[in-house]
Amino acid sequence: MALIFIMIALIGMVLIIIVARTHGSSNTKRVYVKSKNQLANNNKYILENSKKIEKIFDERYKELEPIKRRMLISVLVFFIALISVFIVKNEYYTYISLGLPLIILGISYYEYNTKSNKKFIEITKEVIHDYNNDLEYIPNSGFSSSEYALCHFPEKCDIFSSEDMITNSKNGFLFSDITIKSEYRDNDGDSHYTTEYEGSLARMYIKDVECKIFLGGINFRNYYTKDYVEVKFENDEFNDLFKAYTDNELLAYKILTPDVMEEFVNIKNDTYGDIDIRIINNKLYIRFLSGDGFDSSALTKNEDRESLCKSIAVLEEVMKTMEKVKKIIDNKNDN
Amino acid sequence: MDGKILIIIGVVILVILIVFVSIYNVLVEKRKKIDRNNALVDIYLKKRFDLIPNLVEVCKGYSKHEKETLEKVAELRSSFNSNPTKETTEELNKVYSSLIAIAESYPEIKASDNYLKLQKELTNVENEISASRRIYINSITSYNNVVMRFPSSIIASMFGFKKHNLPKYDYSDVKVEFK
Repeated sequence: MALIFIMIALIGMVLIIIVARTHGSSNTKRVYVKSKNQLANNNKYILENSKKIEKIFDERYKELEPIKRRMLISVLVFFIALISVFIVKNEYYTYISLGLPLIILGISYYEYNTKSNKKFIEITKEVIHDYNNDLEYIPNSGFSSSEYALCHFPEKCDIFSSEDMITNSKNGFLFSDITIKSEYRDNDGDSHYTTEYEGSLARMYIKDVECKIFLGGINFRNYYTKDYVEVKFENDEFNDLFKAYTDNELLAYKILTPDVMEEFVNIKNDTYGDIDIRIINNKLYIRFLSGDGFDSSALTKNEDRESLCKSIAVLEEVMKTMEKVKKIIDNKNDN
Repeated sequence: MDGKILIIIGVVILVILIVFVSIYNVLVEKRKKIDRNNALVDIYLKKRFDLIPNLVEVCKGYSKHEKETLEKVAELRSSFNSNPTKETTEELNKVYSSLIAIAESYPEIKASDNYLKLQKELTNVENEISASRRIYINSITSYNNVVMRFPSSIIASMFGFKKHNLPKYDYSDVKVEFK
């Protein structure tokens, strides 16, 4: 009997912790201020529109208030019922009085979780659209595995997934989280998967480029030595940061002018870890390591705003660089 | 003991020979690359040169006032065809930028389809010339680095590999910007 009581008390404590975590609206405001300081140098949109974004979050999450109240009431009822169990001392009463609040709590928690994720998606769509009218957030979409394969990234790729896509149909800009997994078999012949790469990939269309250029970090090895030549440029910093391979040296020099190389050097210096750049027949790709960018499922509410701010900062940086590079290359080809 | 010493000496000599030959081959390859890349620059310069008559045709129909320039172009071309010299080529290249200036100053020419097509081709050629020059300069720099560094400098001086001078381009009469 004592054991049962202890187990119920433990479950109750866990439930209170869960409810408390989902209910902390004052904590969210403190997290947001922290984000603002972190992004002070590189996200002008967030800084200028902080009140608007705060309002969007508050309005959307207000719709979750009734569910949160229901969960809190269920927890209170559970504890009142727990105390009454010792007074009433009836088996059926115990099961009903403890079971019902737990069931209601479970259903409410599930409902809250599902609606919370939907809310975050709505918020992300609204904030991104507000940030740039041409951008659209599509959570369950991303790059195709065939397009990814064309980029010839070095990791072994048995499973490719891409989601949380942000797209601009006017210039073919596409930004998405990607995960690459490879399969291996253990001694018993069972297959397992290991994550080879987890990051973000961005793409933009550029004009009149009919060649392939691969740029990788200093450890990048050319896996296609037959068809591609290594090229060194006159920019020493660029040569130190990137190894360049191409199937057409003259076109590579035409495209990788000093302005373009400077942009790539700048984004590399601003990024932690290696970045991979591909220019493949009218498309520019940039791939880099990043956390779960716009993914809502791994986040709790407290982290939503900070994560969204960081993700938009990263998106802005990548988009700015790609637009600059596109402008340089397109102007050169037009003029 | 004597045998072992001989083997060691033999191996050392073999290694030195291999290094020697490798460096020599690298020098030869880099020198050939310079010549190849120089030829590439000439190819694109010739391509631009071959577009000059098209430019003359476009300008001729619209501009009666620039007769003198157009006549000079015709004269230089026939002189070049009969006796191609470096001086004539340089004169023609200078006149090329004058032709562009003529075309840019007449709105009727600028708006014509022929000129727009030609402009695109000329832009492309200019970019190709610029890229091929960069490749050429890089190949000279790479070759000079090998010639001047130790120990390849020893082998370079033994076999007459000398430092290559970087070309001097007079951009004022060659690079043209379209407005």
